Amino acid sequence: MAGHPRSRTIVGRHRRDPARADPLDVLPTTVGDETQDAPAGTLVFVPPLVHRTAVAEEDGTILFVVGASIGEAFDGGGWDTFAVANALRQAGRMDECRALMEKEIEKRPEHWGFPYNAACLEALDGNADEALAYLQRALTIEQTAIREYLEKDDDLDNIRDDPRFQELLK
Amino acid sequence: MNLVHVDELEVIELSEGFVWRPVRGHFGIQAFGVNAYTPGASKQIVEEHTEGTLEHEEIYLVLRGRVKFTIDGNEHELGQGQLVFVRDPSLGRGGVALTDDAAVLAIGGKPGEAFEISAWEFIFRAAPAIKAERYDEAKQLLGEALAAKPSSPPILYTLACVDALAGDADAALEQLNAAVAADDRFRGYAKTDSDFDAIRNDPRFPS
Repeated sequence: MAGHPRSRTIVGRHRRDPARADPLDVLPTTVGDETQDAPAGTLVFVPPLVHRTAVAEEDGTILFVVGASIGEAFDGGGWDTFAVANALRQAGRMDECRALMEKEIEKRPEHWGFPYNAACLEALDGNADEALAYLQRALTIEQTAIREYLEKDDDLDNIRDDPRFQELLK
Repeated sequence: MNLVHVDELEVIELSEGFVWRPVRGHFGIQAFGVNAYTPGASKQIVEEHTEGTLEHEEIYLVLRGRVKFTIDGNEHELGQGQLVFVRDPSLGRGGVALTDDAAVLAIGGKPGEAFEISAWEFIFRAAPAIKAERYDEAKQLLGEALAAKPSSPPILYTLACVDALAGDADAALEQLNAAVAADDRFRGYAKTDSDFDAIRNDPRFPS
């Protein structure tokens, strides 16, 4: 797969967050340290903590991905919303990005990930006041997990030197 | 790596003429329901059914070939890479392969509930043995199913069918009454099920 003239990554390298108990995928191609070709009609099963990625060998390749947590009612966790919101931000449509995130925060007030990711989107867009306000909202829902993210999340690099951010880390 | 091509999956041909290719069972997936289907003798590829019992939302993806789906009486011809989603569990749905190489992936689950392995997976697995009148084998498979899903009404009902077909009236009536006690809908199903013809006049048969 190395040496492709341009990126054909179709599934970015990732693993599922163990704190979210997490999903199982049906998809092709690198799982753990093992790489295999997966022609049309191939199914790949991946347990939660195993790294997985896939690179298209042909144009027009489509992957169909299914995932869920064992023993839990399905909850997409919001990554698809965040992807759409980030695309809106990158397209300069920040108003729509905000409206989408606000709608999701309202729908699922118990999920800290929505205000936290809203903060990331604001920080990436250079809006320190908004980003810090969303971080405060997220911290009213969850402390421990967010503090771990705050230390190292490069989405927040734009506001890392802000004294108000430093205050949150204490 | 847990990798398999759909053509390498187990082949279980059901009497309705479609072939079940167990995906969930192949990998031991516990988080969601996923299975593949290929056409059998009748060209059927997705059985005519509703999701009225399980209340699953379902999505079907055509992996290869062309398939004519009928959803709530409306026909849709789908090719490779096309998806059809059926939200309303009460809608009738089914599919007929238009090409011999057709393959369909089906995913289902009930909104707001954790996935449980459906009784039909066990019943489908026993179906070829029942059809071939290998009743001891069928009873063994359904017994294992009952161990995995204790008191499951559809499994008890299917065991009753097998016992009745095998001529064991006492066992059949015991299983059938247990199924009806757990889910009264099976009383109605039993009334018209020819599998029970041999025991229908027994006073213990649910009226």
